[in-house]
Amino acid sequence: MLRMNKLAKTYRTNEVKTSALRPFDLEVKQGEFVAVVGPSGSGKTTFLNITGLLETASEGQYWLDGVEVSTLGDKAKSRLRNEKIGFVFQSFNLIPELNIYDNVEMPLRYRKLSASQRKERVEKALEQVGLAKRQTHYPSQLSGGQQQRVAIARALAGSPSFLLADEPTGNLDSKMASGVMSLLQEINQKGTTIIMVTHDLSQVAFASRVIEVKDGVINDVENYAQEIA
Amino acid sequence: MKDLLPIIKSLKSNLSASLLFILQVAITFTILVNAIFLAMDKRQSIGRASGLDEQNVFYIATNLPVEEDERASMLDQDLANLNALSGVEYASVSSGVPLSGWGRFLEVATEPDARYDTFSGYYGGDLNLFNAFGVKLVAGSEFSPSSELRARTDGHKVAIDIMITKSLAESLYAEQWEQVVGKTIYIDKKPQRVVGVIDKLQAAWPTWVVVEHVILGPVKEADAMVYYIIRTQPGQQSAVMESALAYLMSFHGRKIDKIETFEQVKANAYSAENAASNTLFGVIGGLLMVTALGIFGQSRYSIIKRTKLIGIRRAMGASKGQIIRYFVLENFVLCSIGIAIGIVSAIVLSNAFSNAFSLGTVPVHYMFYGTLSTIFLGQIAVLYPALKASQLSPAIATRTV
Amino acid sequence: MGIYYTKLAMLSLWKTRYMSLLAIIIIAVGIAATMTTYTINYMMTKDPIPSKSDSLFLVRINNWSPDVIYGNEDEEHAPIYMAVQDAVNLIRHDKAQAQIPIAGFKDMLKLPTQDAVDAKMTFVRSSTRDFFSSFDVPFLYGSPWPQGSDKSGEQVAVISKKLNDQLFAGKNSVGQVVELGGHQLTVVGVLDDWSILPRFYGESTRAFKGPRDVFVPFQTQLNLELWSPNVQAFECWKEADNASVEAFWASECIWVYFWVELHNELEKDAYMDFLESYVEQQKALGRFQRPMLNELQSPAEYLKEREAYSSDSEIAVWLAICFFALCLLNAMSIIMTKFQSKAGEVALRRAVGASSVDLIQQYMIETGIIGLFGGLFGLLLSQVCLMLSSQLYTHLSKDIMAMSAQLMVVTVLLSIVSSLIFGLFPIVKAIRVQPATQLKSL
Repeated sequence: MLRMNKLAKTYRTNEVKTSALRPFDLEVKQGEFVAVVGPSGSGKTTFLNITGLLETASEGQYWLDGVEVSTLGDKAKSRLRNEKIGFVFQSFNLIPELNIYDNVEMPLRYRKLSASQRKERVEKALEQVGLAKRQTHYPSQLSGGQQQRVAIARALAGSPSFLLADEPTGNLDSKMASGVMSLLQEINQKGTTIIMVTHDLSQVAFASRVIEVKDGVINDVENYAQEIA
Repeated sequence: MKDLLPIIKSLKSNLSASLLFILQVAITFTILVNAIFLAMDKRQSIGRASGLDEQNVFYIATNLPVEEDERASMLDQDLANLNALSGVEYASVSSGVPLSGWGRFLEVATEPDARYDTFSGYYGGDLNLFNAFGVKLVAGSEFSPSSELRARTDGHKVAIDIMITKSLAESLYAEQWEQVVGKTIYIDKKPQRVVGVIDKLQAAWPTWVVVEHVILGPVKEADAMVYYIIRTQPGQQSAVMESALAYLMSFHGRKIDKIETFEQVKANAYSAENAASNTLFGVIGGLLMVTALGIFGQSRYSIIKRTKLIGIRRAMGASKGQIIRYFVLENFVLCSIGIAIGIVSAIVLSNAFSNAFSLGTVPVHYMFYGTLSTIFLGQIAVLYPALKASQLSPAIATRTV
Repeated sequence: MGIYYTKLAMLSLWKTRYMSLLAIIIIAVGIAATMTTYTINYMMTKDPIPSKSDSLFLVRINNWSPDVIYGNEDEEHAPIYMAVQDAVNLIRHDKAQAQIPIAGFKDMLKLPTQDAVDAKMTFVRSSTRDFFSSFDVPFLYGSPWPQGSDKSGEQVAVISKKLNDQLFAGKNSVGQVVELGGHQLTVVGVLDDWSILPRFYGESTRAFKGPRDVFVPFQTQLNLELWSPNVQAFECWKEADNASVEAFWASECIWVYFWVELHNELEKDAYMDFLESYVEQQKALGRFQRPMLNELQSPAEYLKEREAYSSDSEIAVWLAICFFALCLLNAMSIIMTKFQSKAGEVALRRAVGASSVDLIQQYMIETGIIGLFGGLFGLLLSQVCLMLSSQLYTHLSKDIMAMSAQLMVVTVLLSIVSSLIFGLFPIVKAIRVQPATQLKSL
C-alpha cells in the first residue's frame, strides 16, 4: 500500500547542499505496525514528512495506494492527506477554541459529507478512544493522555489507510503513555496500518517491524531488540 | 551606531512588516503636511485684518420711512440723533458693510481711455464713515468738510474726492503708491481725485481676489435702504445697540432689516473657511491617533515576537538602556525612511491639488516641521513598548518558548 | 462550508478580540472619514434634478451697453439674467413648455391678526406656476396658483411646510390670508418637505442654501412694486429714468433669471430661432445694440461657469481617501499579527487535508467579517460625523448632510471589499508556512 523507490531528500540553502535522506527503497504492507527509530537529527522527521506528503522528495518515486504522488499538485495532495493519512503529533495539536467534537470533525469538514455522516463518524471515532462522553468539552479540560486520545480519534475519523504518529507519547508520563500505546495497538489489530516515529525503546516492542534512520540512511532492522543489546 | 547593522538586518528579515510600517509613516506624513497647509491657509484668510475696529463696530440696515423727497433730511436727523446717543463714538451712514457679502464693485483705471487696471469695492457715506469704521490713514489727508456730497443712490458716480486703500494704490502704482495722493484716477471712467490712502479696509466679499481694494467716497446716499455704521466706546456695544434700536423704532413705518455686530458679520463671512479648517484639524487629529496607535501596536508586537532574542541579548550583558536604544533607533530608522518617501509623495499630492484646485503648493518649512513632528510622534509611540522590552528578564533566554 | 467557516471565524475573532476590535475600529474610522466627506461632496455636486437635467435651460440674451463687453471679459458672454421687460415679453410669447422667471424680494411677513412687532423679515421668491411643475416641487396642501394669477398678478402665495408649521401649526392653510409688507396674500398651496441641491436656479453663491419660504407670482411682485435693493443682485448699464420702482421695472437693469423647459433638440432649436427673432425685433426698436449671443444653458453648465462648487469638499474627499488607505494599512498590520499566531493551526489543517484554497476561503471570511463590522460601525460613525458637520457647516443646507440608502449600502460594501483586499496579503503570508516545520515545534 505504500511503496518508495529510490526516494531521496536534499536541502539547499545558500549554495550549500545538505543530504537529509539518501536514496532508499521501502515498502509497507497493509496492517503493518512500523516503528521508525534513530538518534535526533538523523532524518526521522524528514522521512515522516515525506511519507505524510507534507514535504516533497527531491528524487525518486512514491506510490501511495497505487498513486504516484511526487508529481501531484497542492490540491490533489491535500485530498490524499485528507483521505488516506491520519496524523498523530507529539504535542497533540488540538485547536483550543474548538470543542472535542469539532476537533475530531475537522478533517471530515474538508470532505463532501452530510452532517449526519460526519456525526456518525465522529461518534464512532470517539467511542474507539473511549471519550464518547466528552464531546462538548474543550481540550483544556482534558488530561494530556485524553488529549492525545482525541488527536488519535481525529486521525481515525477519516478512516485513513494508515496512521502517521510522530513520538505520540513524547509529552506524556509513562502511565498515560502506555494507555495511548495500547490504544494504538488495538487500532492496528483492527487493521489500520501505523507508522510511528519514536525513540522510546519500550514502545518498539509494540511494532511488527522496525526501521532505523541513521545519518540519512534508512535500513530495515530484523531484530532490533537484539541488535541494540 | 553599532546597533545600526543589526537593525538593518532585522528589517530585511522582517521585510513585509517593515515595509508596511514605512508606508504608514509615508502616508501619514503626506496627509499631515498637506492638511496642515490647507488648514493654515484657511486660518490665514480668517485671521486677515479687516481694517475696522472690529470689537466696537456694529451696523443696522433699515429704511427711511418717509416720502422720497424727505429722505435726505430724515437721514441727517437719524445721524444727528444716533451720534448723540451715549456710548457712541461715531455714527455714520454707509452704502455697504465690509465682508457682508453684499456690495458694489467698480472698475479702476489710471488713464481716462484705458479699459481698466483693476477692480475695487466701494463704500460711500458721510464724513464720519472713516472714523466709524475706525480705519487708519497712511498718506494724504481725510476728506475736507466741504467735500461731502449727497446722492439718492450710486454715490460713486457723483464723488469728486475719494480715498483708496493702500492695497489698491499699490496695485496701481506699485512701489510709488504714495504718489497717488493728489492724482486723478478713473472710477468707472469718471475722473476722481485721491485725497488720502487708507492703511487697510476690506470689500464686501471675503473670497474676492481683490478684497483689499476699496474706494471710500464722501457721498451720503439716502436710498430706500440705508446702513448705519456705529462705532461705540469699548464695552458699550450692546447698550448702544439697544438704545439705537429704541430710537429708530420710535418712527412709524420703520423696518429693521438687520442688526449685527461686525464680529458676527466676520464669523458669517468666514463660516465656510472656519468649518473647513475645523474639519481639517479633525482629520489631522484622527490621523495622528491612528498612526500613533499603529506604531505602538507594531512596536509592541515586534518586541513580543523577539522576546527570546531580547532575553538572549540581556543574558549576554546588554543593559536596559541598550535595549531601549535599540528599539528607539529602529523606530527612528523606519520613520526616517517613511518620511523620505512621504516628502516625495507630499510634494506630488500638493502639486496635484494645486493644479486641480488652483491652490498654493506646500512650502519647504512645512516639510521640515512635518518631519520633526512625525519623528516625535514615532518616538513617543515606541517609548512604552521599548521600556517594556527593557524590563524583560534575562532568564527568558533559558526558557524554551 | 460557509457556515462552518463563519463559525471558525467568529471563534477566532473572539479569541483575538482586542486585536479584532482594534482592526474594526480603525477600519470604521477610515470608512467614516471617507463616507462623510464623500456624502457631502456627492450631495453638493450631484445632479439637482436628474429627470429634468436635459430639459431645463437658462435663457441668456445679450442685453448690455453698446460701449463695453458685459463683465469686461476677454470673450463676450451674454449676462446670466435679463431685464424685467424681456422676462415679461418672453412669458407673453409663451414659446417653451414652461417659462420660469426667478426673481424675489424680502418683506415683513405676519398673520393679519398678529401685531406689527411679530412680523418677520422673510425672503420671497417670485416666479410663475411653472416653477412648481418644472422643478418637481411636492405639495402637501392645495396646488400652484392657476395660470390666471400669473397673468393678472393676483395676490396669492404658496408657502413652505416650515412656514405653515410656524404660522398655522401645520394645519391646512389653503384659503387663509398672510400679510406681506402690508399686502394681503391668500394661501393657495403649502409645500411638502422640499430641497433641491445644488439649488441651481438662482444666485450661484447661494446654491447650497435651502429654498425660500414664500412664493408669489412674478406679475404680483411687478404689480405691487415690491423691490428690495439688497436681495437680488442687479446690474445696470443705463440708469433708470427716475428713482421709482416703476422706472426700475422699465429700465435696462438686468436681474431676472429666466429658465425654460424644452424637451428635445427640436424644441431647443425652435426656441433658439424664436430668441433670434425676438432679439432682432428688439434691435429694430433700438435695444440690444451688441452682437447677438443667445444661449440656452443647462443647470450643470451654469453652475460650473459660475464656479458654484467649492473645491474644499473635493479636497476633503481626497484627503479622507488617503486617510482611509492609512487605516487599511494599519488594519492590515494588525491582521498580519493576528494571522501570524495562526501558523500552528494552518499547519494542522494542511496536515489533515485542507488545501491552500480551503484555508484562504476560511480566513477571507474572517477578514470579511472584520470588514462587515468595520463597515457597520463606520456607518454609525459617519452618521455622527454628518450630524456634527451639519452643526459645523452653518453656511450649507442641512439636507446636504444626509446619506441615501444607496450610499449606506456602498459604505458597508466598500468596507468589506477593502478589508478582503488588504487582508489577502496577511492570509497568503500566513498560509505560506511550511506545515512540516510548524507541527514539530508546537
